[in-house]
Amino acid sequence: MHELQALIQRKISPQEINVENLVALAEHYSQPHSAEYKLVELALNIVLASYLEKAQQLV
Amino acid sequence: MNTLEKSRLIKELHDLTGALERRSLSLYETAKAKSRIKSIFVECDQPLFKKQILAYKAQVQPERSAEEFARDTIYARSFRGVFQQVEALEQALYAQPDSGWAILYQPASGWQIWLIPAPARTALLSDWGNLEQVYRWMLQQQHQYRSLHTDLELLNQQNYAATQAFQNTVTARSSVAIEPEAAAQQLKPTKAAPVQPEQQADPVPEAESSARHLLLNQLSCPISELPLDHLPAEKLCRVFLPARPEVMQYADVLVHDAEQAALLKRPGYVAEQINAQGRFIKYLVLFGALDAMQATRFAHAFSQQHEHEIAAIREIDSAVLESQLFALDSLFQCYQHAEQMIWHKEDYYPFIPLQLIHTQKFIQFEETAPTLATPLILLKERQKIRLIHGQQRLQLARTEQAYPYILLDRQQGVSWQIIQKVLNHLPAPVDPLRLVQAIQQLTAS
Repeated sequence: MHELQALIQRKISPQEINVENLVALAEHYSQPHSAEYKLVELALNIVLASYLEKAQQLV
Repeated sequence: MNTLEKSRLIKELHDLTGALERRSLSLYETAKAKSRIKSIFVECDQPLFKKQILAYKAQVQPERSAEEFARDTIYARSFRGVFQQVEALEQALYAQPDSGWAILYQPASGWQIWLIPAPARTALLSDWGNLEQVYRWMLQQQHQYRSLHTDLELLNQQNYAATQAFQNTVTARSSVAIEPEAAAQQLKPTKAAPVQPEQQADPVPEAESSARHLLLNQLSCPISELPLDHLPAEKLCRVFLPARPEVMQYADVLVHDAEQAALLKRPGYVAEQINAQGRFIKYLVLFGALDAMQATRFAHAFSQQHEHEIAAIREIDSAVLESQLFALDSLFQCYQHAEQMIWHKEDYYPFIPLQLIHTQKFIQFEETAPTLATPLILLKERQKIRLIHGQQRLQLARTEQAYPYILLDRQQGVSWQIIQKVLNHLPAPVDPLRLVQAIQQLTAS
């Protein structure tokens, strides 16, 4: 979760995030009303947007 | 899409883009990977990833994406098309020389908008850029020149023209009347002099005109009856402002029972109209309603007919409303200061025009992901209204002219130091309502 906080604070870039870890966090924090779920969701949105931008260059 | 699904899409994109970058795939596998990426873009086609989806569509289907983009704006009816050749664009744009806009696309440069700023004038050209950049340029020009009419305005004008044509054919049998300007001026209520009883207003001979007009702020405004599906027995009219067409961009003006003498004795009403997603559409300005109940009924019936909703209705002195109606800023101020809120929906926040906000954020911090209903948090200091929270909310949609907001006031003890102090103790990302609550708790203590 520290990694996600750093991502949200723009201290690390989305491409530096370990994607296996993201899947594990999403599996672990599955309660939509919890603060952890919202933090994971925000981080996922940032990372997914970044991967979409990257993918766009390759299609 | 829930978080687990998103995380799996990220994993998949990570693997696919990695393989494509390493060029480790066969031709067949490359085609398959690209095909899967395209289907992921379809899965992610939601407002949250609007920027990425638009960029993707612009790359794979540039002309079609520009067409879709233009058709999605409030100026779609004035749009003349997407072109790759200047000559073809000019031909289409200048075929209707009064107004209009078009998009030029060139693969090496991107997009460029051509906009006719005034009737019979040569088009203004934006710099080359992506669709959002050039459209933002067009909105800036529109703010200055007001050359385009929104689709809704054009539709209303067509309806009005059709009504006029119909009325002209039955002039001899019509029972319409005109209120002469001088008589109307004498009947304007003032605080010093009590108004005359309604029945003492002299009726004006019907033969004086075949058109019905209403005098607003010394402007003679044609009116046209507006049947309401839900209230067929009520007499409600739309007011047209041909001398000030810009008003129709931010307000629908209506009048009940167009007796000039009567309507200015009655309070005016202003409602905020929103769409089903909660996005601000326009104000609704209503003169002549008999009471707040009737105003509420009219506002809801009118907005439902246009597939909109009402967010709130306030009562405003009609003489004040009449004078403040002709600029969005002054109508907003007039609405904001009206104390008489007669109805509002649940979870209501008032709306503020974008042009009144200084949108540069002074204190940078991470914000929670917004929805269209998320209010901006603003600070009023001296004559300026500055953004505290809402950078993401402002970016959520391209064409909003007003945003829901909560206004904090420096005069009530809220300072940048207090905001910074509160932010230091709130976990990131910061929720706007928690921020306001924490600020209010600190200033109250």
